[in-house]
Amino acid sequence: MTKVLQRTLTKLTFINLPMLLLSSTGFVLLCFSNIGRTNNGTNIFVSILGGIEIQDYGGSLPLLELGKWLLILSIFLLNIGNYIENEVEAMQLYAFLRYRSYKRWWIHLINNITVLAVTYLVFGFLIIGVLGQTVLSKNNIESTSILHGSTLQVLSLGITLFVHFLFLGVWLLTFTLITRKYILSFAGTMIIECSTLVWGILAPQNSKYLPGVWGMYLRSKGFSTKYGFFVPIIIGVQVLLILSLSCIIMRKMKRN
Amino acid sequence: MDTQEIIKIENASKSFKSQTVLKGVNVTVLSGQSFGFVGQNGSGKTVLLKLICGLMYPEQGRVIVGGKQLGKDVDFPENVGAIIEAPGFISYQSGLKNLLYLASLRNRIRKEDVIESMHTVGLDPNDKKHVGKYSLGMKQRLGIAQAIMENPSILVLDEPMNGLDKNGVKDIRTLLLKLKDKGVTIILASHIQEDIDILCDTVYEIDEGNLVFIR
Repeated sequence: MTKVLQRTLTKLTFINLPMLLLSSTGFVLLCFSNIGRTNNGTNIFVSILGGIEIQDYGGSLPLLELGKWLLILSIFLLNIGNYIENEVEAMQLYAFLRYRSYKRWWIHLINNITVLAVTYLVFGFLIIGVLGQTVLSKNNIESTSILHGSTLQVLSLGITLFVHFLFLGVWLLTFTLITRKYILSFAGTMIIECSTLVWGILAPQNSKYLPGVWGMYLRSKGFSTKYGFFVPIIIGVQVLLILSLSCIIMRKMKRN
Repeated sequence: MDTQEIIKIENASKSFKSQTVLKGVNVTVLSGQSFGFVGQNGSGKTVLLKLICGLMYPEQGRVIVGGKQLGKDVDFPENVGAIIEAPGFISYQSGLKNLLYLASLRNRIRKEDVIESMHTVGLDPNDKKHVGKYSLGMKQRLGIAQAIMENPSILVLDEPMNGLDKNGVKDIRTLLLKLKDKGVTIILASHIQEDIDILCDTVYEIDEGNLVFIR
């Protein structure tokens, strides 16, 4: 049992605790930024992690909401960037020789990004859950029903976010490996997210086709039957994109 | 292929943009031999070592390691330990944790073997210092430890004495001579003539993309 635990911990060596602390701080900030928000009884997880609600913003942009969503994404992408810089780029040579094939190495990277995405989301849900129950409820924030809402809704939010984060992580990894410049790939990813989000807000009828809104629960069919995207189809598309990125990187690495 | 031939490079050429780094190189390395490559900076020593490790493939010709053509039969050769260019590790973990993590990828050796390899290169496995705070010499020692810890049959070393102090150079030379006696095939690229003289049976110089036999 101890050996299994030791082996598991060794396999998780790539997780950077200071980065997780930074992520936690981000979630705490997001929690406090939620105080005083009128939200028609929306579950607090959805309210913080759900993204930007589909509604008529009268041609203006909900900048605070947009900023919050980009904060969630950027901290996650920083976690991935830290992983890329430390494990992927620095240890690439050693890992190649141990895996002996690009395919096995790539599967290892995707597994690690999956672990990072899950860890990030678990931290997020835990902090929002605990803070929601203690700090926010003491402040009588009745407009946001603390921890109230259907389990199915929270589960759906978790799955939607997880697949989107996994996709973004693989996307960032692929383009960093191709361009050899993490900052460029990070900036590119954020610009794509940001611009498609803005487009999705200004033209909600197009939002279901835009990658920038794919992880946003509040823009899914579960929330808006008119403009929302159908969650299983979007998840399917993201999985297909991950597979396509995998094919691109296999070809690129072998061509080197 | 002769069973003694552990590495065979046939007519391998490699160029970057308009610059040809290797021109139709042919080398055969027998099992247990120690090969040295010398040459000026940028002469193509590292490129040649990368071809042997499968980290690059030649545009022409082929590289066969352990009877398998790299890039065709396998992506990377089996049972090779290597240190090429500056050794990179997870900077926020200790040396031991880094090596244990790398060992977990193949899961062939025990923790005790990892600890022994650290002792062999003169590093303290109980040192909790993060690798990010290591000196260049300590990183180099850790790089050598990761290369030898899984008892590879081929050791590919690119400037292994980089950053090492006088005692460090002496220790690593002694270590490599021991490994050579054990039958490990050593491929060494260095600009330090003394290392080449002491450690290598066969020496080639890379001059304008061609291999020139020295001894």
